[in-house]
Amino acid sequence: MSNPRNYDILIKLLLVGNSGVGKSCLLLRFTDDSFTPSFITTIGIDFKIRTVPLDGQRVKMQIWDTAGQERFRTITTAYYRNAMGILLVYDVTDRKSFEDIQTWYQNVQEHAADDVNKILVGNKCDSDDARVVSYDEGKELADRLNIPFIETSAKSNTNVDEAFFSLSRQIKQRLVDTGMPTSTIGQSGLNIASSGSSSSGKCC
Amino acid sequence: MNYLSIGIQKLSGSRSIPDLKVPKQSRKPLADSTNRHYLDSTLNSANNLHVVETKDTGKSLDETHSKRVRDLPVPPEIRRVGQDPNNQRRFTKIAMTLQELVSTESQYCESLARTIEIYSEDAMPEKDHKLITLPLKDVCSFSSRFVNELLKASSGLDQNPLSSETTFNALSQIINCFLLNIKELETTYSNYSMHCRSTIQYVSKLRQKPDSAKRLTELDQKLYSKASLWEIEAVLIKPIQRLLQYPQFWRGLQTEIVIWPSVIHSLLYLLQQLLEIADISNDSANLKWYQRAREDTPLRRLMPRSSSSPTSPQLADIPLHQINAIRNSCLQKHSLLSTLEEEAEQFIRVSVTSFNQTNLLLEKVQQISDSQSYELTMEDSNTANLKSIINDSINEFKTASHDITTGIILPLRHVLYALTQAGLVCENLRKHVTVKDSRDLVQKKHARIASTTTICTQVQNILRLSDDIGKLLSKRLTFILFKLHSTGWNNSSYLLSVVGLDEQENESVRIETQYDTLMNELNAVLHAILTNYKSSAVLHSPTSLTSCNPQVCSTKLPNACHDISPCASETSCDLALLPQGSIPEFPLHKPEKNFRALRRAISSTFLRSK
Repeated sequence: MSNPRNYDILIKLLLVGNSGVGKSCLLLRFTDDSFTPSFITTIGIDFKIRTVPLDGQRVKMQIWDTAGQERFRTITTAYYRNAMGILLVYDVTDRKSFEDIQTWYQNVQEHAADDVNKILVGNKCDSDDARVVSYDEGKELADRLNIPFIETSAKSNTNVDEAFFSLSRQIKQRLVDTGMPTSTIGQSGLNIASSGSSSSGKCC
Repeated sequence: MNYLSIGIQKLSGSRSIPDLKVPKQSRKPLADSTNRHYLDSTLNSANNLHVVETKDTGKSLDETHSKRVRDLPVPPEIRRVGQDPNNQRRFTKIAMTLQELVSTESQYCESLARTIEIYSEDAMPEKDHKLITLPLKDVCSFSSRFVNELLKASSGLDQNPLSSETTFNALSQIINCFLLNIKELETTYSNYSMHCRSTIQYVSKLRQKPDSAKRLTELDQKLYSKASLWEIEAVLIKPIQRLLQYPQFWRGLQTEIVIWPSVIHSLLYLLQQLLEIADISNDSANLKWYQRAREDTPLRRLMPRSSSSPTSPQLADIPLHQINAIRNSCLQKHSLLSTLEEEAEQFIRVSVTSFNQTNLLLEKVQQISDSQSYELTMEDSNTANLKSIINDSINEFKTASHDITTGIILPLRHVLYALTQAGLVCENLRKHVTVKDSRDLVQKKHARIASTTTICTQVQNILRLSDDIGKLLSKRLTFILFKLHSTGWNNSSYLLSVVGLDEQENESVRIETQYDTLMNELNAVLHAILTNYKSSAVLHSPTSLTSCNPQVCSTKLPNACHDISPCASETSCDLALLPQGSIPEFPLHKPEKNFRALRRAISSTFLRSK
């Protein structure tokens, strides 16, 4: 893990979505630039880190993955706390995963901070033959939820960086807009979301 | 010493051997003893290496372990798999995964320990310190023991190249390690899950206070610099993450272990156990939160916002105590409904049996009615009436029987369905009303319960009605049988056997016996009169037969005859004049009629003789 002073902004992100939509693959592609369709030796990770220059600042992204833990929603709501940005991921070849985005969105609304930034991600867009959710459908849902939308492919490394960068930019902009001096974000970034998040108990 | 205790001793060093009670009640598959048997059988069958028992020789555990691994026979299955060169990649993958499992467990344990240590060094208020670190301590304590066992179990995996035997050995021992600790794993993590959320909330509150926030920020920096850990909240999530990672590890290995089918059984069992622990922990978190919720917590805070079941604003404002009241009421009704359901099921079984028996009876009665045996041979003016009565009775019986069966069975089926539905709903409610239910659903369930209660009342009415009909039918049948019997119809016993109703049969037999007894008594009286005519003056007496000479007829006249009315007093009896064999035969009529007939017969006989 790198020195805490080697970044300007620390951003905590969370990937949510049904099992098998490719959350872990997106994470690995973004942080390690690797893609293993049947990996099993990365389960032990808690989160992944990647520091990137963004608009002249060093942004450290701490990305949490809830791989395989979707079933236990009560205890995994702890993940939502302090998350500054959330990627809602579905699989364009799996309609159920697309339909369940609504539920995931409700979960985010329920447990995450009110001002958390979100982005809708349609993964596996390289699988044209098996696609069952069109781009337009994804876009329409994103518009309805009033969040940005992007289609990605961890396999072919399409738009993966863009998805994370886009979300990070939104968060950075929000932090700037809310008057948080970016020079202090790195040190207090951990507290930003906690102060904004609801302390009231919510459960699923 | 059995295999499991050997395994525990080997893996846990000098630690006391825990009793293996794998499942609690919620863990469905098998009872404790069965589990032990299951573990023994599956693991032993999976790995013959494990069935070799070693006595406590006082050697060090590592030494014992190495010797065992070296000396144990290699099962043919393992040899065969090892000979396939294509499996080397599998061994590598299995080994890497197992190594990652162990190494990440070690890192995880260390991070918890470091966090506790850093927080212990800080002069934060004792209450804050306890609330934050106490839940972690239990997990850390368990994990430190667990990781030691895992390290020993996986000691052979650093060999290169990996052999089939080594991989198999490590794999089965790590699975064994998990299974032996499964109970403790469940207890530790379900307890932690209960406290995790409230602890994080507490930390969140502390961060809102300037002094506490500053202290926590300093601690976070210490965590980062000394243990490469992020804020305390991230550490508090770690046990949850870890618990949910275990099934992921084993699920990932599942496809690779197909080369050893016998191990698959153990793995699947372990996987199931781990998922159940996650479920239990999830439920524990729910339960804890619900128990801690304030009494005036509105429903909206107890329920997730879901697109499928949106909560209306009015319903969402129900306070917690009302929810509790509803829940308790539902629990009580659920209990009641369960009992009713059982009773209803039992009654339906009885009713169906009765229905079948009734149909059988109906068929047989119909057969009798149609058969020649039913034609009465006696020329009796009442025969036609009797036939008419019987036919009417049969028709009545048919109608009543049909009414009974359709009137009982169909509503009961409906009741059973309603009860089952209500029971299911209540069971579901019992599970989910705590936090997941909606008021709307509760109201619907109340409506169903009310509907079920109404149906139950209806059934009770039907039962009472059927009972009355049954009694009526029983009386009617008895009457018919008696009528038949009184006419001298010889097949009454057959009919009785067809009817098969014990009470009626007993009643009929009783009547028949009484009748036979009376007839015998009468015949005895007559015989006594005839044989003792000359010496008996009693017949000339207008008084009752009770005045007869006991010495003469005590053996011939049963006591019952004392109740018989005397013969016509004006008649002078002289039976000695009667020719032998002319003792009159008495027709088979009702007893009281027979008595009169007897008197008439005696009188006429005497009159004729005179």
